[in-house]
Amino acid sequence: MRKEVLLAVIFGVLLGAIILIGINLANNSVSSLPSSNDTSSTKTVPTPSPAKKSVEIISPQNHAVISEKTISLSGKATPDANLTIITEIDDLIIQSSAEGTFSAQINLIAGENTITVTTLLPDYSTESESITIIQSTTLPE
Amino acid sequence: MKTNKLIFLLTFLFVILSAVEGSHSTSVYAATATPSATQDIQDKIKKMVEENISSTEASLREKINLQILVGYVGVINSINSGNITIDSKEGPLIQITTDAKTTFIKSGSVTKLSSLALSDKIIVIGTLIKDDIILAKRVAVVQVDPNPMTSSTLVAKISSVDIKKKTIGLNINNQEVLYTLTKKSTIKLIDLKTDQTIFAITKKYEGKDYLSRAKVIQLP
Repeated sequence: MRKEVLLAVIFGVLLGAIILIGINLANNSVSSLPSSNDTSSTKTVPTPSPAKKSVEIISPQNHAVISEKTISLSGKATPDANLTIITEIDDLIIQSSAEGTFSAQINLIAGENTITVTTLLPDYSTESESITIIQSTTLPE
Repeated sequence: MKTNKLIFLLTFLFVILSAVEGSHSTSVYAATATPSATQDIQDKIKKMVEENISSTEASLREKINLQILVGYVGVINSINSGNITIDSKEGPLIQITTDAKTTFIKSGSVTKLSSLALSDKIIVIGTLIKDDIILAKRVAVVQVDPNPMTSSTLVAKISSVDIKKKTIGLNINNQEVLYTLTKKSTIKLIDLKTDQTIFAITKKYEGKDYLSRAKVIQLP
């Protein structure tokens, strides 16, 4: 009887060990498969960011139709930058704020108005942004 | 009897060992499979939300575009059964569609589409149907200035100042160019000196150079 029990124990342990080894092998083979969520092997291709503009007109928007004859022009540039604003009527030289923002009141003529803002860069070159807006006192419905 | 005990013992041991191992293996799978599945669901939800947002955004943009007036200026490139294409300053062709409500203005009078001609400069006010297609509400033919005044900005060193003649000489590409002050100029010649560098707005009209605004800047 004791011999049989001992054999049964040994047999059970061996059987359990075989199952354990089998499951471990299966786990290892599953984990070695490339996963769709495995980002460690994914190469991140940096997308080229568009070159940041040194001057940008925020308002009014390009191709805006405006009924007023005077508008507020606003935008962003580098901090404390020298700027020129050229419109159909006005010529202005202003300086952007310490935060880089600028604004100016400008007069419009009836019809096509081209507004150009130019900034002076640290290397004494210039960079410009232009918009075209339409002034019409009688807007179509 | 002995055989039964043996079978019972073997079965018992097998069940115990399998249960122990089974719980182990479940925990191993739990560590690997569950986060992956959760991530998949999150990605799917994220994708669905993004698709929904972009579709709503496009739909809203179309509705807004149909309400906001836009204005384009250009030269007529083609006229074809109610559709006009223009070349604008920005380059690409812009398509303009007209309907029964579109008004056409030429020389200050209301006219018809048929009176528009190729190379006419027009101002179009309408709404955007698509990015480069406008439904015109008003098309006005405008006169082209044969000799327009052009403005520009420059940085240059002052080479001479003549207070009597109201002229400033600027060193442009190692050559002196004389600028006359415009009527509206706010430049005070008395404040300017030779060799100073200025950031200025210039005008060119009928071949002559004018100076409108100037600011002295400090070079390092």
